[in-house]
Amino acid sequence: MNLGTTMGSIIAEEKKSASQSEEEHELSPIAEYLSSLLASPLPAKLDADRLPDELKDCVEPLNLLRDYFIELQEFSRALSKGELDTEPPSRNNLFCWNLKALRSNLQHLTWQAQQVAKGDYTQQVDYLGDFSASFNYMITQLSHRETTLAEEVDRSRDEVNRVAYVDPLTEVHNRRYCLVEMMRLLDEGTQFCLIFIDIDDLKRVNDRHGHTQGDAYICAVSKTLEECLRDSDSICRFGGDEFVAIMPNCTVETAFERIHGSLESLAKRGDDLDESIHHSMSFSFGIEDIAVGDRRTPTQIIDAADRKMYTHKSQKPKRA
Amino acid sequence: MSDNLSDYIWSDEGENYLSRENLGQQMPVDIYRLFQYTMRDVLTNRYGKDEMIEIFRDCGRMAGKLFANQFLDLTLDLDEFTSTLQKKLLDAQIGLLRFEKFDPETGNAILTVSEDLDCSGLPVLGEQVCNYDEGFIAGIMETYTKTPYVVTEIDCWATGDRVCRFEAIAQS
Repeated sequence: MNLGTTMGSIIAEEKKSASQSEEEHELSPIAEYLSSLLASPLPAKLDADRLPDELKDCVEPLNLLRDYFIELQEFSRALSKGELDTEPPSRNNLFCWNLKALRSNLQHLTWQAQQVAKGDYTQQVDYLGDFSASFNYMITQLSHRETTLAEEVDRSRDEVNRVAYVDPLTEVHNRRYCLVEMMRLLDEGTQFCLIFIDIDDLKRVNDRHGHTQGDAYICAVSKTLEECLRDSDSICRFGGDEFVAIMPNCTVETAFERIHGSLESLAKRGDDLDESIHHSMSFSFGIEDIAVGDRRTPTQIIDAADRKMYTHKSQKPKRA
Repeated sequence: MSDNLSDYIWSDEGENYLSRENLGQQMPVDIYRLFQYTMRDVLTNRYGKDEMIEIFRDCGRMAGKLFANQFLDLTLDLDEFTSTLQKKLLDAQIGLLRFEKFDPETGNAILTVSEDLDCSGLPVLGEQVCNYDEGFIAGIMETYTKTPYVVTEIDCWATGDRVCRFEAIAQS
């Protein structure tokens, strides 16, 4: 290798190296700016005075990049905290476009959740990937559970009403219902007739034929009353051998006609009863008319009807 | 006979306008936009941009009323109506309507339409272009609530957003 050539190459390399060093020195503000952008939550602006003239064109777009970057950080931070009403980033900030779409979806889901919370299960979320499927499944399940729960509540309410107001043997209303219904009609000011009914010779049937036959006798009276009175009337088992019929908007004549018809029907019944009982099934009754504005209590009314029933019973011939 | 051709879209009178035995009921979105944007351009050139926008809003409002009367059950309560409206716009491939807010007291709402028929996928043009949609939404809301509405587009694909967002204000 020629010495002169070698020295020339070394000098040329040194010159090239010096030139590169100068370029690196000129680029260092940009490198600083990029480092700050990548590492700092609040990156510094690029200082135009530190750049050579041929690079000054970069200052404006690079500082806009910095502004967009800061907006991106602030907007994503707000979204991560659920602050959906935060000020949106500037329109041209493309880094935030998808985040704005995400915010819209979150706002929509918030609204959907509010709708579901108030019981609106008609809403559906569409085209939001796994979230749609999960959200829609949740709505379906909630709706199903609410329906099931409502059915259970209805069943429980029916059961409570049955226990509270129904006589278990005859399945007509009980004494509690009778008093509640009378009170309701009195409070409303509705005219009604009340018939107090006492089964004849129930004790004798119980003693001679046993309580099973006695219960069948009670049920026969109950069924006869149900068949012969009006649908709007309430039949209540008031005591062991006593029934009360409440007949709203009814004249005494109609009440008498109906209860007398019941008495005739009772004797003709073909229930599973001993033959000797069939022929002797009957009851005594007393009718009380409760006019609009009647100020008596339910107990006073029942006592009055009870007294009439005893009069009726005492007029019947004694059985052997 | 009505003077409005739009009254005959779903009419049983004469030949059905929808009768396209071989070509069917669908057409590409770009052809729909070709139809709409050329009309926008011609109207803008002839009457100016402001007037074109008003014309487009009025057309949209008329379409919204016809759409509501044809496809929506206007007797539903508000909750069911909003869910039905979302489904109908989805079925008609107009866009994915999503409510962000709806104040039942004032009737004011903020809603978005994703994959909007008019503008989704457009480059950033620097201006909102969904004026027809503004009128369309107003027409539907007015038909349901029987109250005048002003609907304004807040965000638009054409201004760099990924969904179109509208504010609907009842004028009661």
